[in-house]
Amino acid sequence: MTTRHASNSAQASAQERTTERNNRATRWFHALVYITGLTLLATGWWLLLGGEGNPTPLALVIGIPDTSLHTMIGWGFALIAIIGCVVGWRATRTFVAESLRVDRSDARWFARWPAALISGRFGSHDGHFDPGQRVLNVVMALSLIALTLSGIGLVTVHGGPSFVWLARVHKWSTYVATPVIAGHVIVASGILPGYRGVWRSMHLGGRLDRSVAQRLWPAWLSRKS
Amino acid sequence: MRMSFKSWSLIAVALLAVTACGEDSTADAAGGGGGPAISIESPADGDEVTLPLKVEVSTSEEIGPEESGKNHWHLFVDGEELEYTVETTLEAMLDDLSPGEHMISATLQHADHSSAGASDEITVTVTGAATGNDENDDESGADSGYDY
Repeated sequence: MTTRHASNSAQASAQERTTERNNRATRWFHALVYITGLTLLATGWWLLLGGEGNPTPLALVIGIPDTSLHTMIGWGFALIAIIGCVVGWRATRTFVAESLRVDRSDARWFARWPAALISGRFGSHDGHFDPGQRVLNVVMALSLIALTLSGIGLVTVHGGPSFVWLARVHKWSTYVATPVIAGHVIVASGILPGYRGVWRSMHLGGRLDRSVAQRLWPAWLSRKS
Repeated sequence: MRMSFKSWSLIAVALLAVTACGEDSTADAAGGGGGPAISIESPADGDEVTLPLKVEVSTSEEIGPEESGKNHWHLFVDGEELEYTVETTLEAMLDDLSPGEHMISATLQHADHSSAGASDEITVTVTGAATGNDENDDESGADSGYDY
């Protein structure tokens, strides 16, 4: 009885100390997108760097060429993205509106950003996303849309003059998306002290420490409380 | 009834499986009946050959690099379909085959790497490496790099 009571109060204390940034559906969507997206990025770069015909370990395990693997996972990514955006249209609307938001205080936030990467003392902002996240969201979303549409186009036309243009769009979108995704992974990983603990917002229950939320999204936290 | 995101994801996976199954429906077509075709012209089926070995093909399609939007062909040995070279001219070189019998396959591919539905294969016997100037010497500049 005492043990259960202690366990319940520990749980309640953890609940008070943390806050849920993203709900379960959003976290699942994010996980499916990054699993398929990172596999696409890996196989895509392998092919771009001339690895075609020299199978990756994944291609060997599955028993199909990397080109077919890339195409198949690409269809999966497109389906997940379309279904996710349609089913979660409210979240999509919030994502778009909050990512396109521009506030006067954004310039001050950007001025303090380089030092805050280490110190964690970010400038104040009123958004659901911080100003840097908004820029990243827009560039990442646009490059992923370009990659998805050009990818569908490439496998639909198979070849010819349209293929040449679609291949260029696909390639250049990859060049844009890659550093942006790499930046997102670096931020999320918590390597930079200022962003330590932020990965919790999308993983393992989606509850992150309130002090982390206060540091990164103060206005969102106060609206939520 | 309101469907959860997980249910929608399962539907997506099922749709993906259906899509993927439909992808290569023409992959094993022989290329006859006026459709795309590829044929290994040299060496001939059953030949005894020496290395380096020049493989020459003919095809009904215009071929070129992927960036041109034209078709290309894949060259692979002994049925190892995952390990191939991408060929964008009508000639290719094989220079690292062990002595003995080998099956050489050529498949025609669209620019997007999907199958164009045509393939050809021959069996040759490698008797050894050529010495001095041989008619199989590389004149095309086509890439090789096999390690069988």
